[in-house]
Amino acid sequence: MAVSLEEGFSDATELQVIDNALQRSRLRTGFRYSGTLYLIVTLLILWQVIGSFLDPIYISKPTIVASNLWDMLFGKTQIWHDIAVSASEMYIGLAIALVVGSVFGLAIGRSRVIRGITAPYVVFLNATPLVITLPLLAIWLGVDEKARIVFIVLLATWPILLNVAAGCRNVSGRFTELGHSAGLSRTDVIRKIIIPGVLPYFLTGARISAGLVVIGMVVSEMEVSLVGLGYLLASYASGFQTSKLLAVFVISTVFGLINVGLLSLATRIWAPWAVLERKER
Amino acid sequence: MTLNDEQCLLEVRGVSKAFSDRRHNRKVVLDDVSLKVQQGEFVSILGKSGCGKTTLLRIIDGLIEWDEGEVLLENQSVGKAQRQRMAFVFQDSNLLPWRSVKKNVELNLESMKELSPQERSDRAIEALRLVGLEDAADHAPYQLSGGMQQRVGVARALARQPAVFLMDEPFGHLDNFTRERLQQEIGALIERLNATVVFVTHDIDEAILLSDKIVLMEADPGRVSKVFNVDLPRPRWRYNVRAHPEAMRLREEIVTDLHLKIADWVQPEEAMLNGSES
Repeated sequence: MAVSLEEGFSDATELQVIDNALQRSRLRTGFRYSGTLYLIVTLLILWQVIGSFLDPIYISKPTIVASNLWDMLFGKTQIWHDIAVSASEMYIGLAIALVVGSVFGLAIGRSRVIRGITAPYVVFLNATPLVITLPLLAIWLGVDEKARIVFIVLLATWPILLNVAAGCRNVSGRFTELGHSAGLSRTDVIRKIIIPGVLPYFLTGARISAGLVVIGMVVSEMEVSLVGLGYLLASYASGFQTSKLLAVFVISTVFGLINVGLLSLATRIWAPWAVLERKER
Repeated sequence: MTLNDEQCLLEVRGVSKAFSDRRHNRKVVLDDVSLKVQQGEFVSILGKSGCGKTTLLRIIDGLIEWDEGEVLLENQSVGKAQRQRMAFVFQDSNLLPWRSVKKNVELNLESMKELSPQERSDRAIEALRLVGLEDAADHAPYQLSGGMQQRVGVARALARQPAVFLMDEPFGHLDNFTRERLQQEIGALIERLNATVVFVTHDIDEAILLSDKIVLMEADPGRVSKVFNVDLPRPRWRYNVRAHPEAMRLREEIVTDLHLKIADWVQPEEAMLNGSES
């Protein structure tokens, strides 16, 4: 094949246009971030001003919440033990959910038989308000971290499982014929096509779950715990200690933000095409 | 065995295929379809949607099973070794979004264990050069336009250096301008490489422009209804071909055969204005 056909095709300019468009979209992103920051500062000032006219029991004030937060982290009433307990429950739960969700997700996505058998249960469990399992779990496993971790797993598995299953079907439908046509073996189709193709779906599910584990942690600790951030929230709430309540709320939110942020970053690093393809559309 | 049989590169002999739907009703998609493709020949399979033309192409590439009949490459029943000598161009370019353009082309070489990574890379670059996209080798697929993506799809097939190209409406998803341009460019490339192509399309003008032979298929069940030889000089240019008397005669004949006779459903004046685009 030593034939050349340069005169037939020329797209240097078209490629250039595409590269320039990417450059512009990066600039727009920078502008958006500064807008977000501006909004946060405005809301904090607004909160401070309105809070000054009300009893602190209602919405408190950012300055008081901040000083409480300082005390909890570095002052007299440190709550590091509670933070550690909550974090360990959350991340053990998330780790188990990631494994369970992707294994079952792949199985359900790959096999029509397994999909058929499990479909009613998946629908049922996904539609159930899982909070009702908490008292049961407490009865079975006792008021300790085991019950809470199981609850977190129950909550966080679904987004991963459903996303991986959907991704698996989608990728199989689009690309398996390509793999067969290229003469790839069955294992190569899974290794080179299914796994990388499912990765962005897995990360999307994991990102949702990383937010859910915070909810799972707080709710389960409010119900079945004498320690942890959720327990603190419940006890401050019953004591009308709004400032402390909001300080713990801030810590929980930071956990959620870190989780979701890390997974967004992971998506950017491991599956950049998924992020960029979305942007192109 | 006659001389003619030996020259025949690809042969489909009496292939039949039926699908069962959910209620176990059998629907015959292909009924006793036979086809001969000579070395260096461009054969179009033309037919309305649902006539089984894509199914036939997928059967040739071994992507689906069939019920009866034989597919022969160089007089040998098609197996794994033969399939490695065929390359499929999909309707949708089907590029893996996580691979660069070059790595996408290399995918088609990864089952050929005899190639070293360096040889794979060289072949991929060479194939991209043939479609004029070597500058885009390290780009991601989503950065390319639809026409460029489809050319990468063609490059992926070229890299295999196959005996037969199987193309499934490769320009079907493109906008009109890009389609016309690619028909011309890819057509010229195939001509210069003297490649053997089985090309599925529902576009009569496309088939006339590109083919040496047009196999017309009818639906329900899918059968070969007629074979036309396209005796037009090469190289062909779109606008010369359109006005060529032989091409016009052929188009008329095909249209008649497809029961699409324009006069039946359009006023003659209108037909004059619109031509006989399908």
